Amino acid sequence: MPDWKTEIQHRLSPLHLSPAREADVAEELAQHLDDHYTEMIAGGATPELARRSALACLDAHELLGALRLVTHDAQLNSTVRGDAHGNFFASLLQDVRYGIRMLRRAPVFSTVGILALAIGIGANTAVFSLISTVLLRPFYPDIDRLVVLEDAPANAHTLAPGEVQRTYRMSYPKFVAWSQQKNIFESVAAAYFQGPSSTGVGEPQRLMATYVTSNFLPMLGIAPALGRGFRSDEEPLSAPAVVILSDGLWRSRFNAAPSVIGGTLTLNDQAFTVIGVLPASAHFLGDPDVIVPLRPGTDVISPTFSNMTVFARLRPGLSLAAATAAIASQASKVNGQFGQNTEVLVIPLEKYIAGNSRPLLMILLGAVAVVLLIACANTANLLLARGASRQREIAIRVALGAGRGRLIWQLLTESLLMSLGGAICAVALLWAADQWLTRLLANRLPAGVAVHLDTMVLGFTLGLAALTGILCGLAPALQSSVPDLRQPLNVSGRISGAPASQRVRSALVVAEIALSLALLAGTGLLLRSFSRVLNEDKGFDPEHVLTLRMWPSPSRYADPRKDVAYLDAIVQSTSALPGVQAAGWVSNLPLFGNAISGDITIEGVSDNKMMMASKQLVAGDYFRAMHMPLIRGRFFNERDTLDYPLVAIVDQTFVQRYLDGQDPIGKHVNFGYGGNGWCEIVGVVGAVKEMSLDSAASPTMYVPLAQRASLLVHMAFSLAVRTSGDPAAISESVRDAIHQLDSTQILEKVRTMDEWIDTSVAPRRTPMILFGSFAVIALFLAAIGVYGVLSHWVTQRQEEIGMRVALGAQRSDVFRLVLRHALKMIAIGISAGIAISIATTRILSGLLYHIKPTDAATFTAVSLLLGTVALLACAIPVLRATRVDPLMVLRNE
Amino acid sequence: MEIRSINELKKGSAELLILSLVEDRSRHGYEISRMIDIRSGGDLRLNAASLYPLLYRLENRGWIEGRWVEKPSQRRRRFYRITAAGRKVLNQQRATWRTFVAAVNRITGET
Repeated sequence: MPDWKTEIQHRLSPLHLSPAREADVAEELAQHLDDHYTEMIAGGATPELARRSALACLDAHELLGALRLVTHDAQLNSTVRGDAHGNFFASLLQDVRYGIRMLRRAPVFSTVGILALAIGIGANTAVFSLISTVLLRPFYPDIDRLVVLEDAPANAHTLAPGEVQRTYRMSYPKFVAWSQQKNIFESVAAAYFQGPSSTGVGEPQRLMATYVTSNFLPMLGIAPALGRGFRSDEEPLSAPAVVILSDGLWRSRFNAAPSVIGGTLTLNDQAFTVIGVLPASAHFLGDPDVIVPLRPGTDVISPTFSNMTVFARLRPGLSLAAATAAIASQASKVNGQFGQNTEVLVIPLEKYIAGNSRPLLMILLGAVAVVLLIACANTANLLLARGASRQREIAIRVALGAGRGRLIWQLLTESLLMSLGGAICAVALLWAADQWLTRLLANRLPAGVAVHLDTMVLGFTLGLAALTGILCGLAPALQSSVPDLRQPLNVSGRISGAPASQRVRSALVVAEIALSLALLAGTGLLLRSFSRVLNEDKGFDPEHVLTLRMWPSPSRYADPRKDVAYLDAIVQSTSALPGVQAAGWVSNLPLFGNAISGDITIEGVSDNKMMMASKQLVAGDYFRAMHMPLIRGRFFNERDTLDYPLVAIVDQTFVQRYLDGQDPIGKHVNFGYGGNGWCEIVGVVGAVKEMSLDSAASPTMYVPLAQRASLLVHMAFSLAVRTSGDPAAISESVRDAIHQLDSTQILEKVRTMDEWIDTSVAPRRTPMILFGSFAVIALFLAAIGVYGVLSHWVTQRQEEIGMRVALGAQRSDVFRLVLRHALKMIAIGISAGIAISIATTRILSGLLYHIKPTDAATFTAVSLLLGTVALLACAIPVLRATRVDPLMVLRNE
Repeated sequence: MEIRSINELKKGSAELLILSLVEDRSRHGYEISRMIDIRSGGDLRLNAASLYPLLYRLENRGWIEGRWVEKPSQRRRRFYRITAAGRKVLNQQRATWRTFVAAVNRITGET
């Protein structure tokens, strides 16, 4: 039997069938020739005659022609009917290949479209990645049963705004009392944040340490990555000193060596045995470097010192509401033991962690969704423009028998390819920029939250890309798939778009302008709030002030008098440095809400009003160093020590709130903690914003630290140094001066006061920068949109314009004609944008400062900006229109 | 029945033949070509180069369905059988054909 297959495959080769298909066809045809050959031989023919006769049935030319028709027929048919699965994938592959070819044929169009979508998708992916960690993923297992208990003043809600502290802590004995409420809590754990120093090799480094009860880690579901957790027998004071390291410290200081377990870490001149390392994923309480067991009996535990953050796990089956009610009913009994009138606040742990980041993220999500919408509108516009110029191609395809569904699918494939390209670019961009984004957001997000790309985020990106591709491709595909068959085929080469298509495109641009305006208005409002906050009267002069923070070692300066003398000596030697005008200590620098706040009593002032004040311990020339004005009386002097009567200085807010109309000088106030509280007011200083620049000033009381020496051992202090020149330039000599007194002293946060102000406004700057970037992107996209649509409009009207010019219209007439069309689009867009802004900017009100969400000046300014940019985008199309050569147009007719 | 064009009829006739032959039972390509040859007494012939593309076309349209069938001690063969859609088309084409033949007969005077 002759080898038919080789011959058949040779004849089929010009068809480029898939290998499987070719093999099938060849086999079937070979079978046919076999049958024919066998029959001929049986009928008495010679093998050669039989072979020739068989091959004659398979005329190569005829076969190829017929098979080509079949292939073509199949492609047209399969997707119209959409029945055969094999054909579906084959045609999908064909569409993808065709789509890539079409995108490559118009590189500028494709690049602009893909980049616009990359920006839109990228921004959404970034925000989603943040949201997925902050809001969607539980930080701890069973987080709905975890709460934080706060011991707040009974009438905390009667306090003026700005006075309310963000967090209230609980004293250790109270924590013990609550942990016995077994019918409410499964377990209760306490943590106390402090900073022991580690003086190992090299520059002394202060480590942030947190004391925790032994049930703290199990309660949060955190298991050490290495070693073990604390045992309850490690809580007594007599137990050996043990420590668990954070993942960060383990890596930075011990090079991630597993042998660290059993080793020693020196904290405050005491050796601690390392028993474990926390997992990298563990985040709590500002991420301390080390945790050590909280030991009853140590001096941090005092009934009057509310310093414990208390975590509790509710009993299974107990709802938050039921637990809150149960706690409220027990509160008076528990508090009664301590003779205190306080109220226990029950805060779900999730809220405690996510805090104020939730509204910000929601607003950002809204902003990026708008950016994506604008990007979609832009790409849809590009596709519509292209659809118009591709009408000829589409008409030919329809004439050849392509169905509408088939065409829509083909056009959708192209927009999906673009959005997929955009998604890939977006992921690459984010991969490159995630460090920057995480840093930018660091001040506004809970610890451990960062922009990261995992499968969930990538899945979201892919889904978003698909949605985007369909969103921006569907309208153009529907529009382009019903071409007017006659016109494009008859008139060679002229690009044309149906008026309906032009209307859709103009509407899309109007939408882009409107949405951009809304983002710009938001940015404008945030920007103006920001500048108002910066221009707020601070109550001190931040220029030329160097600050640093330090914590005298509690073991070496255990004697309070020694501590006071040490701090005094630092003031003396710093003040003696050239270029230094004044230096002084304060327990907490203003603007960060870190000052201790507590209740006070004033001699002769009725007790039934809750009186709260920020309490600051100062030494040296703090007021002069900060340029705080003395309004009445005197500053502290070197005689204000324990050997003399206790004194205090209050600020103007204090006087206005609590001593209205009375002479404050000579009044006695009970400072409330650190020994005998009653002291005499000797001076009044200007009000300082303690919490932040954008909050109201709170009543503040200053006392000399020398007169509260018993508190010092637990406290860190900030030094403020007023210089005549650049404060940063003097930081080295200040360091040296301190290290001459104690070479092991750890100095932290050596910064100028201006830098602190910068840090304090970071929570405002971050949303402003993000919003601003989104608005700039939106503005840019809208400008491209305006340019594209107007440019297309001019191309379409070339004939009309040429005719007008031929009939005697001047260049200025043409100029006006085109400009009028552009202005109409821009004006409608801006009006719609203002309407949208008025309706939506109020969601920003939480981020605004002393400005209405509908501020007319801001809206006017951003409208002008947007209008100008949009008009600039019109420049090229308008100029092109005025240069239309009437002869060229007429010749083309 | 309105006849749209003569061309359509000519093209349609080969389709009609194939559909009729696979109406009652499934047949392979060689069998179909032999049946046309035999039943027409040698007057009609469809060679392989025309037959197989036509089969593929009918299959693409969903009118017939091809299936590889293996038989002991033989090479596998592809058998075609009519589908429900094909049966509808066949009935339609038969009617068209009858109208056409009757019309031609009336014109040429044959009965």
